[in-house]
Amino acid sequence: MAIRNGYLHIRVVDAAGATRTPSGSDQVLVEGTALSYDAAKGFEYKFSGKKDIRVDVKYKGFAGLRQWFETEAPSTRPKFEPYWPGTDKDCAAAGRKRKGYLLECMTISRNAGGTASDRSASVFTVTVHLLPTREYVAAIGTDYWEGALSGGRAHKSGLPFHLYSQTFAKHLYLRKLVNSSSPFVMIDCQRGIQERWMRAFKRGWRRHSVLLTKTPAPTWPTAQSFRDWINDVGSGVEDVTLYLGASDIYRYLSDKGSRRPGTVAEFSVFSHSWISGPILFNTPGSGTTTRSAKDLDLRAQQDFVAPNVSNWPKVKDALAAGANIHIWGCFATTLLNAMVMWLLKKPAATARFRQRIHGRDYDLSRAQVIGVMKRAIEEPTITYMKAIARYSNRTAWGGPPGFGSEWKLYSTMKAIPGKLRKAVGGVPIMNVPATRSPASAIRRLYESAQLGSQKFNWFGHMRYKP
Amino acid sequence: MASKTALVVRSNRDSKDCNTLKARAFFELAIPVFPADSEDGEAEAYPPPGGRVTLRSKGGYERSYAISEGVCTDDGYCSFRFYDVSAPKYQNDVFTAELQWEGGKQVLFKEQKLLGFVQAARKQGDYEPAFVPGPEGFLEEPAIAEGEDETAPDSEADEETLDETTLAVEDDEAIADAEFESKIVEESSEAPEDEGVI
Repeated sequence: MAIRNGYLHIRVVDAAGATRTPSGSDQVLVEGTALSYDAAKGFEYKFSGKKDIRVDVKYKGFAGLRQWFETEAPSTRPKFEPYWPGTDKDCAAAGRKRKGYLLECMTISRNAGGTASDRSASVFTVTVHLLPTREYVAAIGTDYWEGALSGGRAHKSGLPFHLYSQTFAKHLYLRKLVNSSSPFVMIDCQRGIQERWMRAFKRGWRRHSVLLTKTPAPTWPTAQSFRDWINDVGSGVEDVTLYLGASDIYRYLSDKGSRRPGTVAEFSVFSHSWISGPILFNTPGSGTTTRSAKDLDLRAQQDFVAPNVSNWPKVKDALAAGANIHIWGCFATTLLNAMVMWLLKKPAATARFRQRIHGRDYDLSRAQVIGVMKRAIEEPTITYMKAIARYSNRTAWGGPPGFGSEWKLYSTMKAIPGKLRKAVGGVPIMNVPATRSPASAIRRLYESAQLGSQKFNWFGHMRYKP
Repeated sequence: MASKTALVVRSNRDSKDCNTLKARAFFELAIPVFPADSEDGEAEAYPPPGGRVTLRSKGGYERSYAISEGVCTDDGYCSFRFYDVSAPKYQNDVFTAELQWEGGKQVLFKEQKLLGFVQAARKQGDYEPAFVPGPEGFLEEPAIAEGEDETAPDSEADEETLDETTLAVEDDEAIADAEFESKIVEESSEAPEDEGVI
């Protein structure tokens, strides 16, 4: 049997299949070495021996792509088999391989010619379908003890926020809001890891590679252990810079804004939340416009103004035209909830909102109640969704003032078209039950002219305009 | 698979027609095989069992195979051979390969010259993805037209493939060759006029 050489040709094409001819700093590398480019062959690499190779596609303005192959040539049958390192749960697991894993944006063909007795070398052509990058960035909050610091009933919900982010990744892909050559970057504060997911051919979204590792958040087995940890943060015993938090999230986005602007199509935060923003750890804030060095949470009043914003100046540049921001946690402010319930009773124009909430007495006219509600919707110094929408000049979606978030199986979300529900399947997603249904009286109140004719999405989120 | 192989080998030994076919050049296209293992509702394996691989050129060449006609070996690829791409009219032609299935299509490669692969096998270069026309081209080797001995093997390698014992020892590539030969025997009655050398 004849010994044959093996070659790799890499062709980078656009959505229409037309070659993306490299220019400037555009490169394809094997094991860190740039390949030469030829118009007829594309980027060419000749196999040598039996070894694993790492292929990187780096085109300016696009997310980098990385794929691994097992190769062997010269050989009677040159070998070229795709794989990803690690496992689906731990993509950094040493010594493990996921054989057959290939980036969904890549196709392979093996070409040869000749006769039964005389054959050419085997040429493996990898076609890289490099589509405009539309990255999905999801920040994941920790599963801390709610109520443990406020003196209320402490409880831990055990919410798998990372699973909700994966469900939304499927949703975004099937809705064609992201594509197969774009990453889904999960910044998981609970696990202390920033990892890139990519679409694997015939497998869907899979963990691809680790971008950054920090200390995992504690599991806090008891409410007291959480209080102790917060106290240690306050006293400086616990160094918060070891954990993934707000600064890491904004810096990641700002870095994308610098290196490949306009490529983040979706920024989501899956966590507990309140009016002032997503709560990643429930660390103490400063109460001023300067962020506390001991704070890991996202904050409407601080994150998009000086001096803090100078630490992540390019966040807004990262976002694509038409990008969306989703804040999936609660906006369950008791006062605002009470006001909505009062308005739903269709009070007379002369009626008074008289209630005692959290030890404070309120006596407001109907017009004053409407005014408070509108400020909660429209004031960026009050509401995080409005703050980030205004700063980034992109639409943000989140709970309407006064209402909390829960999880539900995507397949049972009746507002979503059946075909899409079936395709995404019975996986959990966060949503706002009070406004999920178009028939909801609460939603209709927000959609009414008196509260500014607000719009809602399939998840019950309200639109916060820039 | 094994009995089919043996049949082909015997036919090669006894039939000058089949030996003639063996001398024909081919372009081989192979695509990787992936099992169905999706979380996104895409339950089908790849390539889709009901799909077809089509090779067509701007110059009018077009031939397709059902996926079930491909030959899969343990290297994880499913192969298809196109025996008639070397006709004179296709020398400078560019070819596009597609995989089509119900509700989907995938371009495997687009507008590439193919005859260089055949030339390379004829020791006219390591390999050439682009055809270089000239007197040394593939068309200079029409075994039948030149009146060569039609029954004798034309190389040591061919003698190997005629050895049934060799085929029996799990030589996937030889088995794959034999399967392709079997298919081309079935196809030979069509005698496409574009083949030129046959």
